[in-house]
Amino acid sequence: MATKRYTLSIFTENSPGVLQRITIMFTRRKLNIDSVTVSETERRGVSRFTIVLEVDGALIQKIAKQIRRIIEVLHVDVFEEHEIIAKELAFIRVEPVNDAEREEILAIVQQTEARIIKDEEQNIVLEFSGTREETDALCDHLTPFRLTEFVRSGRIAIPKKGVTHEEAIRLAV
Amino acid sequence: MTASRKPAATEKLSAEISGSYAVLESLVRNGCDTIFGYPGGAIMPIYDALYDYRKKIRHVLVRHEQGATHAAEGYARVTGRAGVCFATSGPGATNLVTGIADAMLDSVPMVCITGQVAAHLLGTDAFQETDIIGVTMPITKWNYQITNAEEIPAIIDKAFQIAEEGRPGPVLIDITKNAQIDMCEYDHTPKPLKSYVWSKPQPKTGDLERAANLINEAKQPMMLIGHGILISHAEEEVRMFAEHTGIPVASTLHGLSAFPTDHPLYTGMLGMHGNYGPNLLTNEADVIIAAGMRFDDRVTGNVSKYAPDAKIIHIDLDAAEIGKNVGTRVGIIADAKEALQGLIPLLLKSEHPEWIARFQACHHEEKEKVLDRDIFPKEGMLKMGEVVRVLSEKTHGEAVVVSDVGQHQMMAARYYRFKKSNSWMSSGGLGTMGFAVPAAMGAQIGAPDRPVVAIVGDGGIQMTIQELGTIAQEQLPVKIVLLNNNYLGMVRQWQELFFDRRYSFVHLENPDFQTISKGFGVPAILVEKREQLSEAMDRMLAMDGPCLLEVRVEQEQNVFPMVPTGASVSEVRLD
Repeated sequence: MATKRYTLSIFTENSPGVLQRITIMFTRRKLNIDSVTVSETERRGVSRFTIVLEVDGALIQKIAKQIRRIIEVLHVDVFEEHEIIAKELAFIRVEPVNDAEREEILAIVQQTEARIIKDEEQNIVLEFSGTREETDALCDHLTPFRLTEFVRSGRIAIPKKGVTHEEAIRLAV
Repeated sequence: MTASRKPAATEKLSAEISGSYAVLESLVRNGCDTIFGYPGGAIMPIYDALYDYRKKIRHVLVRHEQGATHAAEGYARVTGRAGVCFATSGPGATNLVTGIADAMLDSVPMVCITGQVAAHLLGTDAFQETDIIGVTMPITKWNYQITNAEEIPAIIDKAFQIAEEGRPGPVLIDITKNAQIDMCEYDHTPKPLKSYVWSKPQPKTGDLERAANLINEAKQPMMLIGHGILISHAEEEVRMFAEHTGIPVASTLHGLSAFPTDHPLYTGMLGMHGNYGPNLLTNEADVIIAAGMRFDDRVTGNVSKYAPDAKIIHIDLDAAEIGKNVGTRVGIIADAKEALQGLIPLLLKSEHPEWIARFQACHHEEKEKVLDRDIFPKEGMLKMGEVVRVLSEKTHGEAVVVSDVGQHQMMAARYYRFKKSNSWMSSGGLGTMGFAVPAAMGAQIGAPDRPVVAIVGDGGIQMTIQELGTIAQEQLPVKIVLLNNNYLGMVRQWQELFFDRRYSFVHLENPDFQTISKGFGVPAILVEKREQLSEAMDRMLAMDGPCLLEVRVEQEQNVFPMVPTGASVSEVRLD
């Protein structure tokens, strides 16, 4: 089975339990989700789930149809990597031991698009938004400088071609 | 309970009533006339209100909540309306689980209402608290917990709408005790639903045209029908389709009775123990028109070897079924009735005499090797098939037949000759032993003027045998034919054929079913010899009330034809 990375955009009514209803569709087939992000949309009462996973292409289409069947689900899109603009947010804590290291970290910050959001002597927190690969690359650069903490959000994604869900959520609450 | 909590006797459009009364008013306005249930602590306020609704709603006190669910399924399948169950929290609710899963897999509309501990106790491991919403989430079409009385009317309306609309299924509504007791404003005018909009998909003209072209050019076409034909009442459309195109028709287990068994274009049942012709010739068909069925693995056998030469046209209301198990050339997402109505005018009048002759040849072979021995045995112990044949003759193919799960199920499915639509129900998807007795009970309540006969085995009946008490209390004229072979027969058959006859825990030392049945107040008749069968069957059918007819049958009989697990349908065995 050839697997690929897919991103699902799922629009739902904003009510308790919807996350569980959606994840059941993956767990019953023993699939592991890479990331989930949930937020309210431009429309009040409508939530947007962005789910990323590596899976077989025929299977993801079947699962998408089963997710669409959930009563609270209004619309489902399945995207391949080239169809979306996708980013994640990361916080990285580094603890330089001397000024030389500190200078090197600041240089890395300048080369990338990272931002310093806390700057104390031995406690620098960086914020970075980018693709998973860009975040990984930044971490690789920073590892020599006592990278002590790293957290990143799930992916958020938006289709390049424009809005796809307008009609589906028009009928919602 | 004070009088002020009851609905006002005057016909005001809006009134303040307790949540419990709101539940019952909402049930009545959604057409509920029967509840199968069992009371307990967390649902007592609703049961108290139910006391005032005894004239509007018949409550059937089952002996176990699983019985309530199967009875609701039986009721739903004969009426086409949602069956309703009541249960208390904790064990009452968890006892519903098997029946809910059964209804989910077999697309049966059901509304289960469970009591729950008061909202302030949720999550505290309170007495009889179970997270029934979490438990039933994967096995319901929808579920919802009500913690506020004001939500009750709209949520119950929505529950019925979801259970009955589109592809039917079970819905569970969990109501905390405080919401049952608190007062709420009840608006007697029907309200439009705010939160759930479902529009029925219409068949697309392009899909119908592409399907029609395939059918018009087909040389060896087959039509496969399933439960969806009965749900959408498309029996007449199937007959018109078949007679116009001359295409042979085969049915899934759940499609039985949608097409008359004695129709010249009917070729029999599909699947693991279906008929020889429809299984074998599936793999020679060039076009398959599948309507209201879902290509279950019991139908397809080894799916990678299924219908290799066929272009498949799949009609189903549920878009998720199209392409789920088999690849389709044309998917028509629509109600079977509407799809066939759209398709028939596009089809050329045709006949396929040579192709039909192939099915007839298969039928002759099956008749010689299996059927005659099963239903017209000359000697030896009584056989399951002949009991079904005698029942079929004596009820003129017009009874509602409810089967349990196992060998007797396949015998009933194979040998009852259905003349009337909507006359068969069984646990197909989940294969739930214990289904038949309570389901027959519900079917009899839903169809009081039809004869209802349960066909059960000695294993399955003992899983829900206590519902004989309910049948006696309600004086339901349900007839139960118990085919007793002292074995879990289907498992024994597999052990014989595929596990070197190592009979691992399949023999049953049974109780005296005659005494048990009579003890419950259900008259019982025992048949041990062939010459007793006809007269005993007559006596059973002549009884005004319930009756159990126990027939001692050959112990180690096998069901054939058979498509072994993992084999292709074309490898169907006759012995």
